[in-house]
Amino acid sequence: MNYSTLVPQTPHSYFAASTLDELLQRDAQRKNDGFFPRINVTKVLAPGTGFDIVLIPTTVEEKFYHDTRPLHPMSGQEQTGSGEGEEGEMIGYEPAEGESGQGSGKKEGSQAGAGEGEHGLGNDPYEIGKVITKKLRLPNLRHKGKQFLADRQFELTDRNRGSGQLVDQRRTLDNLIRTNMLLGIIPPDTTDFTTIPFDNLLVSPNDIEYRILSVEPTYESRALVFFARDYSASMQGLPAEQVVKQQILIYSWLVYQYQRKVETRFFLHSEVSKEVPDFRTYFRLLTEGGTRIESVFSHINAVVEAENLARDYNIYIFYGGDGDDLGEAFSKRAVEEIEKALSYVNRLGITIVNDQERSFSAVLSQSGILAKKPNLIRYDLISKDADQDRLIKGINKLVSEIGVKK
Amino acid sequence: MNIIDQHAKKLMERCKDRARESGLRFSDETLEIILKNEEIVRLEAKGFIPTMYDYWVDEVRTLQGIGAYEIFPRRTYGMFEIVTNARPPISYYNVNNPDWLNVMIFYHVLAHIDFFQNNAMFRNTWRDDFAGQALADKRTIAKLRREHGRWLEYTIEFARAIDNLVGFHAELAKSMDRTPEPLPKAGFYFDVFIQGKDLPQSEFFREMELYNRFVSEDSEQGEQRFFALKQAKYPELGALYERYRKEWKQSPSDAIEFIMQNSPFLNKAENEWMKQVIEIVRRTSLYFQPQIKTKIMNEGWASYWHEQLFMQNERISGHEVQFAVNNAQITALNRLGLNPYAVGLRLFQYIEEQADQGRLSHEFKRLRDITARDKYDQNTGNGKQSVFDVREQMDDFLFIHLFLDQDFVDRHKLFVSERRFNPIAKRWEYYVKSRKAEDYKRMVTATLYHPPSVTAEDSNGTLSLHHHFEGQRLVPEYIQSTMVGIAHLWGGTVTLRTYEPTVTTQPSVEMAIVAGAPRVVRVENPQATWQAVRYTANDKKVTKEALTGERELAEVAAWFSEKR
Repeated sequence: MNYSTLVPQTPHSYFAASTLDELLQRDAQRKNDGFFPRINVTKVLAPGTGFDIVLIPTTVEEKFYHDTRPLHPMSGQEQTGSGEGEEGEMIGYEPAEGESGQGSGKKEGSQAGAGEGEHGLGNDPYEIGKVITKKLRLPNLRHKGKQFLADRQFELTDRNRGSGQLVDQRRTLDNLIRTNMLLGIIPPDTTDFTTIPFDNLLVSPNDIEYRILSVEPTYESRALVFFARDYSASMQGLPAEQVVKQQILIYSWLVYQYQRKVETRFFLHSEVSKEVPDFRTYFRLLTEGGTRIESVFSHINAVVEAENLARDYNIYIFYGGDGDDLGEAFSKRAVEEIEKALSYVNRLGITIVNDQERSFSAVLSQSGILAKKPNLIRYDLISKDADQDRLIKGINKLVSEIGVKK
Repeated sequence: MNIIDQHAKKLMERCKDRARESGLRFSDETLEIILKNEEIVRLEAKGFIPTMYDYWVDEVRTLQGIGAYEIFPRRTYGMFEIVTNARPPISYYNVNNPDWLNVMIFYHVLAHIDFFQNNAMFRNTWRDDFAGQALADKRTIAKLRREHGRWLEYTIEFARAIDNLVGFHAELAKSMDRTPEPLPKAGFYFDVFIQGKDLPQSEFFREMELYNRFVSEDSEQGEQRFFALKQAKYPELGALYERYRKEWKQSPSDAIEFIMQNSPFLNKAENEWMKQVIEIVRRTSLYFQPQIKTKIMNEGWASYWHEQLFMQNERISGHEVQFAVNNAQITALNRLGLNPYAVGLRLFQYIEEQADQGRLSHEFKRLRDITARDKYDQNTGNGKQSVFDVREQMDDFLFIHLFLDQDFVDRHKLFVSERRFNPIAKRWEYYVKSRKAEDYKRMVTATLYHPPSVTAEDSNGTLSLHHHFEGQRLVPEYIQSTMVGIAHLWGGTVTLRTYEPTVTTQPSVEMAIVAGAPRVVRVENPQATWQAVRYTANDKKVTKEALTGERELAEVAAWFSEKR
């Protein structure tokens, strides 16, 4: 047979070159003929190349197939494997995703929120933090604050001539050539290295350079984040959702900045403050009753002091509420507690979700600490229906460092 | 898209000589082509047949592949090779590899070609060059596209919606039956007539014995005398056989052929072109069937030979470590999941060893004494011949079913694992479910390609399809549009009888702490009852009704009792 017909000379000439637009146009025509459209288009964020969206069309050829999905979503799925392990022994696990209760969550406190995972945070916060830091231009931390000895390791980082653990071949060759040039064995003006008489080189023990073991201490920064929010009745619905959404993004950002060395504590308050064990409870709980912002800051201060946390961690506090407070006198006491906290925090951020300034905000700005210590405390007011972009801008406001360009 | 250079081609020719010396058999001519990454994406959508007919789904897949490539650029993979079963066989490579790696890959490719050209499942692909056939089909489709526009696309789409129902085995049987003709009278009597009489099995065997006795006593008149006797018992026999002979025609191999032969719509003169299209789709599907059915064997065979031939080749010297790494990347057993290269390779090696020791014999199978079994070695030297026989005669199902035994599972530490939801820890946990060969075989068999068995008949102008119960439902989301497509090709009402489960008990898992570690101690699978249902497609509308007839219940009961 004739291969010129089989393998065309110009590449791809054997493909009908349809563009996505043409395909979609034809797909739209199907409706007029009485058939369902068949092409789905997915938008995917391309990593690493800026803010690029890639359009990916997909289609399924529908046929009579055996349904291989399990009868029940919770029933087991089998597959083959090999290696060690007795019958019944667990050999691995993966976290469940998209478990019931997330999303609209109307039954459980009328609050939408995030998914599951570490502290109930969905996907990988590190990856989210990486993406929002890069794509949304959140600042990188210039100073990560206190560093702590994490580990001591022996590494082959030091060098020694004459003896050692591992010959450093490149440096040894350098030394040999230098010595032999000085001795005149290699003519000093050699440019073509293939002419070097390698067989006749003089090898001095002192020219042999080794890598030797040395102790390398590694330091790391650790962060502890206090997330606090008002969970009184007035926060129900959108305000709570906004606070929690923003705090998740802040958490992700910190996880990325501190290379996962981040711990979290969660505090809720109405007239009194209480600590809750996990994120799930933190974003779900609602209570009746009034608001006393002072309660949560004094609680956090007490915890930090009692557990001596300031010694071991870089501490962050992020607070969210709607700005309502029991009264001006109480707001003043809250500001006093905040000032105390400023003695140990790396940053304290306050987000007020409301359409106008409320009593607490007024007291806070009158106190002047916002202006006095802009590197320690930040304040942001966002409206109830702010979109994601506004939330991100808010984060920028809360976490950026002075002198660092966004 | 370039043909490999002369130097590499020379290597290939030398590899062919050595492969032949080891017993592999394949055609002299081969074609080796190097592809760029984008060309791989484009050809992938066309099943690596460059001359495949154009269809919009392939174009969507191409765009999908290019998009995916933009997001996750694939590493140029040194061991990339694809072999197509054409005449000559075409093999594709990604880059020009160093010589030693090329030699290793060429051996792998040659074993694939040997498999294509000698395995009995491929019998129907031996006569023609599929790439050439596809080119002719592509031209036909292009011509019809100019004449019929988007209705050509719909015809392809609806034909492809049932192209997994092709009767691969029926076609294979037909090709081996050289002169298709109606059964002789004895065949008719035993295979058709008496089957309808509902006789007990003992009676059936007695009839057979009687027939054999008549024929052996008198080879010329025996059969006549037998039938004279039977004619007296069943007066209708002679007339029925005459009618059978008169009305006999070769039965369609599958539902697609049935529709082509019997659809009033397709058999109108103005729609004859559609049958051409359906035949092309059907032929294409049939071409790919043996490849899907021999994945584990084919990859195992290629890995078996590249390992064996390359280890003997002088080009390995100096590249032993690189070879070991490359080979392990292909043939290592996965901790979880099935690697057809790994299982196929080990099973071929196992068969060779077993045959060499004479362990594939009936005598060994009957041996119960463990020490005697351990020491059993007849030193037959049949190993090589046995693996060649296996590659010639089996498909994945037989390969796994006949040779994978407990010794094999133990030797390679194989197991069936299961994923279970742990509601307390809120995570999916994987645990070792079973190390029994039976379970492992069942699991591997379940992953093999097995399209639903759907037969067709014409009941008074309605096409009625019957999905035979095998303990699985059809994907419910796809039934509607598939039926609308079939109804279009049939030009009238189409019904489908199938079975759907209702879950009656929830799954549950019991865990316990054994020796300080959590263990799964008891697993309850969800129970289901099966309900027969009938879908009816008429004028682009599909309705569903429950069936409660005894025939339907009997089919489910029969399947379960056979399984037990």
